[in-house]
Amino acid sequence: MQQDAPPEAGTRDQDIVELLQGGAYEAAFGWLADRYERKVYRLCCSLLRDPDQAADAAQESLVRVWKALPRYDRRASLSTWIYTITRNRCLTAIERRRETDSMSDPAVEQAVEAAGASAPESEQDHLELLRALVEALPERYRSALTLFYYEEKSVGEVAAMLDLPEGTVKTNLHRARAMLLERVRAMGFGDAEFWLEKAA
Amino acid sequence: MNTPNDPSDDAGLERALDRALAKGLAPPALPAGFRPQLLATIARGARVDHAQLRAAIEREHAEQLAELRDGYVSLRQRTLGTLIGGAFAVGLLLNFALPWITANFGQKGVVALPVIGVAIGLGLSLRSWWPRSSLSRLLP
Repeated sequence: MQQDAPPEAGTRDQDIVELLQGGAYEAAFGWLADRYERKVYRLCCSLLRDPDQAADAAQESLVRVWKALPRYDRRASLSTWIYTITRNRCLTAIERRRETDSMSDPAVEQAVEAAGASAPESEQDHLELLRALVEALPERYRSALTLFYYEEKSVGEVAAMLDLPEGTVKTNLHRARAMLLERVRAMGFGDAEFWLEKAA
Repeated sequence: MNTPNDPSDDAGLERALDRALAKGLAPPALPAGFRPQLLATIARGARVDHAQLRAAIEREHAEQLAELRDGYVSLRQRTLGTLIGGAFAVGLLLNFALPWITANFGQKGVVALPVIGVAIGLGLSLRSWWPRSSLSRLLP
Protein backbone atom coordinates (compact mmCIF):
# COMPACT_ATOMS: atom_id res chain seq x y z
CA MET A 1 0.00 0.00 0.00
CA GLN A 2 1.34 3.41 -0.85
CA GLN A 3 0.32 6.78 0.33
CA ASP A 4 -0.81 8.81 -2.68
CA ALA A 5 -0.03 12.27 -1.44
CA PRO A 6 1.58 13.67 1.67
CA PRO A 7 -1.07 14.72 4.16
CA GLU A 8 -1.55 18.36 4.84
CA ALA A 9 -0.59 19.65 8.24
CA GLY A 10 -4.13 20.57 9.12
CA THR A 11 -5.80 17.33 8.09
CA ARG A 12 -9.09 17.01 9.88
CA ASP A 13 -11.37 14.06 10.42
CA GLN A 14 -13.75 15.59 7.90
CA ASP A 15 -11.04 15.50 5.20
CA ILE A 16 -10.46 11.82 5.91
CA VAL A 17 -14.18 11.07 5.88
CA GLU A 18 -14.53 12.82 2.51
CA LEU A 19 -11.77 10.63 1.10
CA LEU A 20 -13.56 7.57 2.46
CA GLN A 21 -16.81 8.67 0.86
CA GLY A 22 -14.95 8.94 -2.43
CA GLY A 23 -13.64 5.38 -2.01
CA ALA A 24 -10.01 6.53 -1.70
CA TYR A 25 -9.31 4.15 1.16
CA GLU A 26 -5.53 4.03 0.83
CA ALA A 27 -5.15 7.79 0.81
CA ALA A 28 -7.64 8.09 3.67
CA PHE A 29 -5.74 5.53 5.70
CA GLY A 30 -2.47 7.33 5.07
CA TRP A 31 -3.92 10.54 6.45
CA LEU A 32 -5.62 8.69 9.27
CA ALA A 33 -2.37 7.01 10.28
CA ASP A 34 -0.58 10.36 10.26
CA ARG A 35 -3.23 11.83 12.48
CA TYR A 36 -3.90 8.93 14.85
CA GLU A 37 -1.00 6.47 15.00
CA ARG A 38 0.72 8.32 17.86
CA LYS A 39 -2.52 8.73 19.78
CA VAL A 40 -3.38 5.08 19.28
CA TYR A 41 0.07 4.06 20.51
CA ARG A 42 -0.20 6.33 23.54
CA LEU A 43 -3.62 4.94 24.38
CA CYS A 44 -2.19 1.43 24.14
CA CYS A 45 0.79 2.44 26.31
CA SER A 46 -1.55 3.90 28.90
CA LEU A 47 -3.83 0.87 29.01
CA LEU A 48 -1.23 -1.89 28.66
CA ARG A 49 1.72 -0.29 30.50
CA ASP A 50 4.17 -2.18 28.34
CA PRO A 51 5.78 -0.49 25.33
CA ASP A 52 6.27 -3.71 23.37
CA GLN A 53 2.74 -4.95 23.93
CA ALA A 54 1.47 -1.43 23.23
CA ALA A 55 3.31 -1.36 19.88
CA ASP A 56 1.79 -4.72 18.92
CA ALA A 57 -1.66 -3.66 20.04
CA ALA A 58 -1.38 -0.35 18.16
CA GLN A 59 -0.30 -2.18 15.00
CA GLU A 60 -3.17 -4.64 15.25
CA SER A 61 -5.65 -1.89 16.03
CA LEU A 62 -4.63 0.10 12.97
CA VAL A 63 -4.76 -3.01 10.77
CA ARG A 64 -8.31 -3.58 12.04
CA VAL A 65 -9.13 0.04 11.30
CA TRP A 66 -7.80 -0.44 7.75
CA LYS A 67 -9.87 -3.58 7.21
CA ALA A 68 -12.99 -1.96 8.63
CA LEU A 69 -12.60 1.34 6.73
CA PRO A 70 -15.12 0.42 3.98
CA ARG A 71 -17.69 -0.32 6.69
CA TYR A 72 -17.20 2.95 8.60
CA ASP A 73 -20.73 4.39 8.62
CA ARG A 74 -20.14 7.73 10.41
CA ARG A 75 -22.58 6.89 13.20
CA ALA A 76 -19.70 7.63 15.58
CA SER A 77 -17.01 10.22 14.98
CA LEU A 78 -13.84 8.91 13.35
CA SER A 79 -11.80 9.39 16.54
CA THR A 80 -14.40 7.60 18.69
CA TRP A 81 -14.50 4.74 16.19
CA ILE A 82 -10.70 4.38 16.13
CA TYR A 83 -10.34 4.63 19.91
CA THR A 84 -13.09 2.04 20.39
CA ILE A 85 -11.27 -0.42 18.14
CA THR A 86 -8.03 0.32 20.01
CA ARG A 87 -9.56 -0.04 23.46
CA ASN A 88 -11.19 -3.33 22.50
CA ARG A 89 -7.87 -4.64 21.26
CA CYS A 90 -6.17 -3.56 24.49
CA LEU A 91 -8.91 -5.10 26.61
CA THR A 92 -8.42 -8.38 24.77
CA ALA A 93 -4.70 -8.20 25.53
CA ILE A 94 -5.40 -7.39 29.17
CA GLU A 95 -7.83 -10.29 29.47
CA ARG A 96 -5.23 -12.56 27.96
CA ARG A 97 -2.65 -11.75 30.55
CA ARG A 98 -5.30 -11.67 33.30
CA GLU A 99 -4.07 -8.47 34.78
CA THR A 100 -5.38 -7.66 38.23
CA ASP A 101 -6.02 -4.24 39.68
CA SER A 102 -2.80 -2.24 39.85
CA MET A 103 -3.25 -1.36 43.53
CA SER A 104 -3.16 -5.02 44.47
CA ASP A 105 -0.21 -5.72 42.21
CA PRO A 106 2.65 -6.57 44.58
CA ALA A 107 5.30 -5.92 41.93
CA VAL A 108 4.14 -2.31 41.60
CA GLU A 109 4.05 -1.85 45.35
CA GLN A 110 7.56 -3.25 45.60
CA ALA A 111 8.72 -0.86 42.90
CA VAL A 112 7.26 2.08 44.84
CA GLU A 113 8.91 0.94 48.03
CA ALA A 114 12.22 0.44 46.27
CA ALA A 115 12.02 3.85 44.60
CA GLY A 116 11.19 5.56 47.90
CA ALA A 117 13.54 3.53 50.10
CA SER A 118 16.23 6.16 49.94
CA ALA A 119 15.84 9.86 49.28
CA PRO A 120 16.07 10.36 45.51
CA GLU A 121 19.01 12.51 44.59
CA SER A 122 19.16 12.85 40.85
CA GLU A 123 16.43 14.18 38.58
CA GLN A 124 16.09 10.68 37.15
CA ASP A 125 15.49 9.26 40.64
CA HIS A 126 12.73 11.78 41.21
CA LEU A 127 11.03 10.94 37.94
CA GLU A 128 11.35 7.21 38.59
CA LEU A 129 9.74 7.64 41.99
CA LEU A 130 6.95 9.68 40.49
CA ARG A 131 6.32 7.14 37.73
CA ALA A 132 6.26 4.33 40.28
CA LEU A 133 3.71 6.26 42.32
CA VAL A 134 1.56 6.79 39.22
CA GLU A 135 1.83 3.09 38.35
CA ALA A 136 0.51 2.24 41.80
CA LEU A 137 -2.67 4.28 41.31
CA PRO A 138 -5.92 2.42 40.63
CA GLU A 139 -6.34 1.70 36.93
CA ARG A 140 -9.00 4.31 36.13
CA TYR A 141 -7.00 7.09 37.81
CA ARG A 142 -3.70 5.96 36.35
CA SER A 143 -4.95 5.78 32.77
CA ALA A 144 -6.67 9.17 33.02
CA LEU A 145 -3.57 10.78 34.52
CA THR A 146 -1.07 9.33 32.05
CA LEU A 147 -3.22 10.18 29.03
CA PHE A 148 -3.80 13.66 30.41
CA TYR A 149 -0.07 14.36 30.26
CA TYR A 150 0.47 12.40 27.04
CA GLU A 151 -2.23 14.48 25.34
CA GLU A 152 -0.95 17.87 26.47
CA LYS A 153 -3.49 18.18 29.28
CA SER A 154 -6.53 17.93 27.02
CA VAL A 155 -9.42 16.61 29.12
CA GLY A 156 -11.58 16.36 25.99
CA GLU A 157 -9.06 14.15 24.21
CA VAL A 158 -8.65 11.91 27.27
CA ALA A 159 -12.45 11.61 27.52
CA ALA A 160 -12.66 10.61 23.84
CA MET A 161 -9.84 8.09 24.20
CA LEU A 162 -11.34 6.44 27.26
CA ASP A 163 -14.95 6.88 26.16
CA LEU A 164 -15.82 8.67 29.39
CA PRO A 165 -17.70 11.90 30.05
CA GLU A 166 -15.37 14.86 30.58
CA GLY A 167 -16.75 15.29 34.10
CA THR A 168 -15.72 11.75 34.99
CA VAL A 169 -12.24 12.35 33.60
CA LYS A 170 -11.91 15.52 35.67
CA THR A 171 -13.05 13.65 38.77
CA ASN A 172 -10.58 10.85 38.10
CA LEU A 173 -7.77 13.35 37.58
CA HIS A 174 -8.65 15.14 40.78
CA ARG A 175 -8.69 11.89 42.76
CA ALA A 176 -5.46 10.73 41.12
CA ARG A 177 -3.71 13.94 42.17
CA ALA A 178 -5.16 13.70 45.67
CA MET A 179 -3.89 10.15 46.02
CA LEU A 180 -0.48 11.15 44.72
CA LEU A 181 -0.27 14.04 47.18
CA GLU A 182 -1.27 11.75 50.01
CA ARG A 183 1.29 9.18 48.95
CA VAL A 184 4.22 11.57 48.57
CA ARG A 185 3.45 13.06 51.97
CA ALA A 186 3.24 9.62 53.53
CA MET A 187 6.64 8.83 52.05
CA GLY A 188 8.10 12.05 53.41
CA PHE A 189 8.40 13.86 50.07
CA GLY A 190 5.61 16.38 50.61
CA ASP A 191 7.77 19.44 50.17
CA ALA A 192 7.00 21.36 46.98
CA GLU A 193 10.59 22.57 46.79
CA PHE A 194 11.75 18.98 46.70
CA TRP A 195 9.89 18.42 43.44
CA LEU A 196 10.49 21.87 41.99
CA GLU A 197 14.23 21.72 42.47
CA LYS A 198 14.84 18.22 41.28
CA ALA A 199 12.15 17.07 38.94
CA ALA A 200 10.23 20.03 37.60
CA MET B 1 9.05 19.69 55.53
CA ASN B 2 5.70 21.51 55.47
CA THR B 3 2.66 20.67 57.54
CA PRO B 4 0.33 18.42 55.58
CA ASN B 5 -2.87 20.37 56.11
CA ASP B 6 -1.77 23.80 54.95
CA PRO B 7 -3.88 24.71 51.84
CA SER B 8 -1.21 26.98 50.40
CA ASP B 9 1.29 24.15 50.72
CA ASP B 10 -1.21 21.85 49.03
CA ALA B 11 -1.48 24.20 46.07
CA GLY B 12 2.27 24.64 45.88
CA LEU B 13 2.92 20.92 46.07
CA GLU B 14 0.21 20.25 43.51
CA ARG B 15 1.77 22.73 41.09
CA ALA B 16 5.20 21.24 41.67
CA LEU B 17 3.89 17.72 41.12
CA ASP B 18 2.05 18.87 38.00
CA ARG B 19 5.30 20.14 36.54
CA ALA B 20 7.09 16.98 37.58
CA LEU B 21 4.37 14.81 36.08
CA ALA B 22 4.48 16.75 32.83
CA LYS B 23 8.16 15.89 32.68
CA GLY B 24 7.90 12.35 33.98
CA LEU B 25 4.92 11.37 31.84
CA ALA B 26 6.18 12.65 28.52
CA PRO B 27 4.32 11.07 25.61
CA PRO B 28 6.09 7.91 24.48
CA ALA B 29 7.56 8.14 20.99
CA LEU B 30 6.43 5.69 18.35
CA PRO B 31 8.82 2.75 18.04
CA ALA B 32 11.23 2.99 15.12
CA GLY B 33 9.85 1.51 11.94
CA PHE B 34 6.29 1.55 13.20
CA ARG B 35 4.73 2.82 9.95
CA PRO B 36 6.72 0.61 7.54
CA GLN B 37 5.85 -2.41 9.67
CA LEU B 38 2.18 -1.40 9.68
CA LEU B 39 2.11 -0.96 5.91
CA ALA B 40 3.92 -4.27 5.42
CA THR B 41 1.37 -6.05 7.63
CA ILE B 42 -1.48 -4.51 5.67
CA ALA B 43 0.12 -5.38 2.33
CA ARG B 44 0.69 -8.96 3.49
CA GLY B 45 -2.92 -9.16 4.66
CA ALA B 46 -4.14 -7.71 1.37
CA ARG B 47 -2.25 -10.38 -0.58
CA VAL B 48 -3.83 -13.07 1.57
CA ASP B 49 -7.23 -11.41 1.18
CA HIS B 50 -6.83 -11.24 -2.59
CA ALA B 51 -5.80 -14.89 -2.77
CA GLN B 52 -8.75 -15.89 -0.60
CA LEU B 53 -11.10 -13.75 -2.66
CA ARG B 54 -9.80 -15.23 -5.91
CA ALA B 55 -10.21 -18.77 -4.59
CA ALA B 56 -13.74 -18.00 -3.41
CA ILE B 57 -14.72 -16.51 -6.77
CA GLU B 58 -13.23 -19.43 -8.68
CA ARG B 59 -15.03 -21.88 -6.44
CA GLU B 60 -18.32 -20.05 -6.89
CA HIS B 61 -17.79 -19.86 -10.65
CA ALA B 62 -17.09 -23.61 -10.84
CA GLU B 63 -20.22 -24.33 -8.80
CA GLN B 64 -22.33 -22.16 -11.10
CA LEU B 65 -20.86 -23.85 -14.18
CA ALA B 66 -21.57 -27.30 -12.75
CA GLU B 67 -25.11 -26.23 -11.89
CA LEU B 68 -25.66 -24.86 -15.41
CA ARG B 69 -24.23 -28.00 -16.99
CA ASP B 70 -26.41 -30.24 -14.83
CA GLY B 71 -29.45 -28.12 -15.69
CA TYR B 72 -28.66 -28.21 -19.41
CA VAL B 73 -28.15 -31.97 -19.47
CA SER B 74 -31.30 -32.48 -17.45
CA LEU B 75 -33.25 -30.23 -19.84
CA ARG B 76 -31.95 -32.10 -22.86
CA GLN B 77 -32.81 -35.42 -21.28
CA ARG B 78 -36.32 -34.21 -20.41
CA THR B 79 -36.85 -32.80 -23.92
CA LEU B 80 -35.64 -36.00 -25.55
CA GLY B 81 -37.80 -38.07 -23.22
CA THR B 82 -40.84 -35.92 -23.97
CA LEU B 83 -40.29 -36.16 -27.74
CA ILE B 84 -39.81 -39.94 -27.70
CA GLY B 85 -42.71 -40.43 -25.30
CA GLY B 86 -44.92 -38.12 -27.36
CA ALA B 87 -44.05 -39.97 -30.60
CA PHE B 88 -44.90 -43.31 -29.04
CA ALA B 89 -48.15 -41.91 -27.62
CA VAL B 90 -49.17 -40.45 -31.00
CA GLY B 91 -48.27 -43.71 -32.77
CA LEU B 92 -50.27 -45.70 -30.24
CA LEU B 93 -53.23 -43.33 -30.52
CA LEU B 94 -53.20 -43.50 -34.33
CA ASN B 95 -52.96 -47.26 -34.17
CA PHE B 96 -56.26 -47.37 -32.28
CA ALA B 97 -57.95 -44.23 -33.65
CA LEU B 98 -57.55 -44.79 -37.41
CA PRO B 99 -59.56 -48.02 -37.56
CA TRP B 100 -62.25 -46.42 -35.35
CA ILE B 101 -62.42 -43.23 -37.52
CA THR B 102 -62.58 -45.27 -40.75
CA ALA B 103 -65.31 -47.45 -39.31
CA ASN B 104 -67.45 -44.54 -38.08
CA PHE B 105 -66.73 -41.68 -40.56
CA GLY B 106 -65.50 -43.47 -43.65
CA GLN B 107 -62.35 -42.73 -45.60
CA LYS B 108 -63.07 -38.92 -45.56
CA GLY B 109 -63.11 -38.95 -41.81
CA VAL B 110 -59.43 -39.84 -41.75
CA VAL B 111 -58.75 -36.45 -43.38
CA ALA B 112 -61.65 -34.43 -41.95
CA LEU B 113 -61.09 -35.15 -38.25
CA PRO B 114 -57.41 -34.09 -38.24
CA VAL B 115 -58.40 -30.94 -40.21
CA ILE B 116 -61.03 -30.13 -37.58
CA GLY B 117 -58.43 -30.75 -34.86
CA VAL B 118 -55.95 -28.46 -36.58
CA ALA B 119 -58.65 -25.77 -36.98
CA ILE B 120 -59.54 -25.95 -33.29
CA GLY B 121 -55.84 -25.75 -32.39
CA LEU B 122 -55.33 -22.73 -34.65
CA GLY B 123 -58.40 -21.06 -33.15
CA LEU B 124 -57.10 -21.53 -29.59
CA SER B 125 -53.66 -20.26 -30.58
CA LEU B 126 -55.15 -17.20 -32.27
CA ARG B 127 -57.26 -16.44 -29.21
CA SER B 128 -54.19 -16.62 -27.01
CA TRP B 129 -51.96 -14.60 -29.36
CA TRP B 130 -54.39 -11.85 -30.34
CA PRO B 131 -54.52 -9.90 -27.04
CA ARG B 132 -50.71 -9.63 -27.01
CA SER B 133 -50.43 -8.73 -30.67
CA SER B 134 -49.82 -5.15 -31.77
CA LEU B 135 -52.51 -5.67 -34.40
CA SER B 136 -55.16 -5.75 -31.67
CA ARG B 137 -54.21 -2.14 -30.73
CA LEU B 138 -54.76 -0.97 -34.30
CA LEU B 139 -58.36 -2.13 -34.33
CA PRO B 140 -61.05 -0.39 -32.32
